[in-house]
Amino acid sequence: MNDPVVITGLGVLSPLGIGAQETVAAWREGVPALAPATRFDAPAGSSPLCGEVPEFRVEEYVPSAKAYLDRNSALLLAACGLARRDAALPLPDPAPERIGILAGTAWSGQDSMAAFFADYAQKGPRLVKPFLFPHTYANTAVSLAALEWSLRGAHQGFSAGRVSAGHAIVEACDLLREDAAGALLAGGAEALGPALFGHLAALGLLKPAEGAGTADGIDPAEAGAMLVLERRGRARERGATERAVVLGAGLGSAPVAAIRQALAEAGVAAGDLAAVIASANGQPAVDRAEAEALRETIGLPLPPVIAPARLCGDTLGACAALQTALAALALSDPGAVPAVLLRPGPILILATDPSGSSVALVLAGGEGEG
Amino acid sequence: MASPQQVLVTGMGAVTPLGVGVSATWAALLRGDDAVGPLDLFDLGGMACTRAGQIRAFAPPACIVSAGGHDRASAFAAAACLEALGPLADSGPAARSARETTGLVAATNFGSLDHGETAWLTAPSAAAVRDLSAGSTADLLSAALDLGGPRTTVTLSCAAGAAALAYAAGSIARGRSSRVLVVGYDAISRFAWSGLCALRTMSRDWVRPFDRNRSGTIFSEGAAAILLESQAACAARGGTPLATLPGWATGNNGHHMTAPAPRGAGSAQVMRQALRRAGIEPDAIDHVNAHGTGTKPNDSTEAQAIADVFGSRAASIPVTSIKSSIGHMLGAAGTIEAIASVLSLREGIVPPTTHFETPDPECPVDLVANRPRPATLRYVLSNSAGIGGCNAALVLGVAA
Repeated sequence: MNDPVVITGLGVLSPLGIGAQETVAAWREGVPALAPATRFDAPAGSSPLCGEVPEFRVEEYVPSAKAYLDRNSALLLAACGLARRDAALPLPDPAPERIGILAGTAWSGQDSMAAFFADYAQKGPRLVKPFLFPHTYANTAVSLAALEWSLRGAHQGFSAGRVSAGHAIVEACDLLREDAAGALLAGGAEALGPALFGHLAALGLLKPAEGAGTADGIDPAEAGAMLVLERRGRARERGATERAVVLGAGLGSAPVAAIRQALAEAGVAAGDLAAVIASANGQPAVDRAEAEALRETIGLPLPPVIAPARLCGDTLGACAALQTALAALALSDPGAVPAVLLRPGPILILATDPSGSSVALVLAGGEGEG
Repeated sequence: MASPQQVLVTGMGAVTPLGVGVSATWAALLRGDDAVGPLDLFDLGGMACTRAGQIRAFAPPACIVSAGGHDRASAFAAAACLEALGPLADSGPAARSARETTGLVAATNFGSLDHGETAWLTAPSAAAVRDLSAGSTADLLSAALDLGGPRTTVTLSCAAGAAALAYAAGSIARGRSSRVLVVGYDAISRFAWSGLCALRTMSRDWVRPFDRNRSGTIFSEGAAAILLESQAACAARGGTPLATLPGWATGNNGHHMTAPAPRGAGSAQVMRQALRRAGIEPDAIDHVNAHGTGTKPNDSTEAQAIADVFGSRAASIPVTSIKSSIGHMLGAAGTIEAIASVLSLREGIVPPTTHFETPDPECPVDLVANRPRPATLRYVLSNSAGIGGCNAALVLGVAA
């Protein structure tokens, strides 16, 4: 590819920390960022362990004051603010119709939905809060971000379980390759709150209280992770730093199809992969599917496989964006990440939903990077 | 990725308050029937809005029930999908093989919330909680219809239906998929209805798009599905193209969460971008199927956007809004309007904007008022918008 899609900005808020520096430091240290929930009580009988984003003030990342934001929107907006700063995107942008945003979330603003419907149930339908309703839409966060920075170009919201953010990133890369946009923010967010924690318990996804750390089940987590993507030519023109280059992407209803598509598009042989950043989260359906798919597509011996969920929990609909951001960090600053990633070469990112839906991306170091 | 592929519409399906099936819905649109009537799905508890486009006497397809679908939304969507799949829905080996690589893109505002909301009203069951995630219905539909390609749900409020077609068309044009089933759907629920009433955009009168005395929209439920294929995939199975989909665009007006931008700048932008992608000039468009919600701000700014895109021709391009008849189908609005656009292209007739009485000088469009209008059409532009400043536009063309 003469003019590949490159990552020129990262905005990450996760249990590992806020911003690239904190994130790589925590990742290198390798100490799990899981702890009992602090903002709400875990449902009875469930493990209280989860991955919460450290305290942050969204006002530090967005230009305008907000009367109301739920945590999902706050995480996405803060991640966008960080990514824009990292990429040094101008504000206002001279061609806002060429700058867009695509983002995914599995559960969106469950706390806004619960609050809105609580009024319905307790006070009656005439006494619901009108201002809350627009915040219950699954596209609320991505559209608020577009409005905040006047991102008038390509705009999409995706909900597809654990591959939600992955769909946003793949579509953004495709749109950039066909020159349908100049730069795109892409990624996703997922916020933990009492409503979502309760839902995950009702779905039987959480570990039991007494089996924490050993039993099957997920440690739920939250994150906002956004990338600034653009073509290399445009990035060079404006003097932006390449954190990584996106060589290929794939989608599938099973991980094997997604991996094969991504490797073929990247023109990378499986044996040349330096590492895999997988979405394995403690759910047998996910862990087994990813392990089998990696064995089938790459063969043994596998390159080092890293599962960030072990450290920071399962960030659900945001996981593919967090994994991609971590890969970009590893590629742009090899000394700052776990030693296992020090081997040079492309990194495969694999995100899988328990339903089988999968997204794969192949990233390599950007120009001038290790 | 492979070289750009032509995107074809090869199947359509609909479950609407005007009828079950595309033919029944189209015939009702041409007659100018009204879908709006009293809403009696649940206790309205003093809500201000009591009329809707409610679907009655509808039997859920067996496949969605056996896949675990508990709600009306997924049942509407499944029925529309089955009709759109046509011969590809049968149990023969060729159809099964085609379905193995068929992707699914769903579009919705509220997903299966008509079942999900029971998790808040009673003890939460796993099935109800699952339906609180907007993407859950796509998994269910994929299983019910035995589709093996990638699946996702596009959530772009009332622009979702058109945005989903844009996403799927892009996937086919780039060669990432060869066949994608797109379905827009929504069902009226307590949650949705109380919120939609709170927005204060609904009329107690009829939906009168572009009329001087328009007073708002009225929401409807249902589903509309479109099967998109690459030319190669369609030819390989001996399918018949119904129309082409050469242009599409999505965007955000960058202006306001619930209000359109001045002069409908967001709509104008996506219309221009869709034309550019289609490789045609505005002069090639013979008809605009408008978003036309019947609200004061939408219709005047959309008319201004049409004027800005088409210049002096704007006043002579037939414009219609089927929402006057079928109501505002939320996540399905963009897909049902694309279906109407395809049928207009094929049959050479534009369905009417009903209930039109008084022209509005702020909406200087050539409205197809109250009666259908015969027209020879090469390309139709279908425009959509939604909460969050969302915009999407599609260009549909006559099949060769």
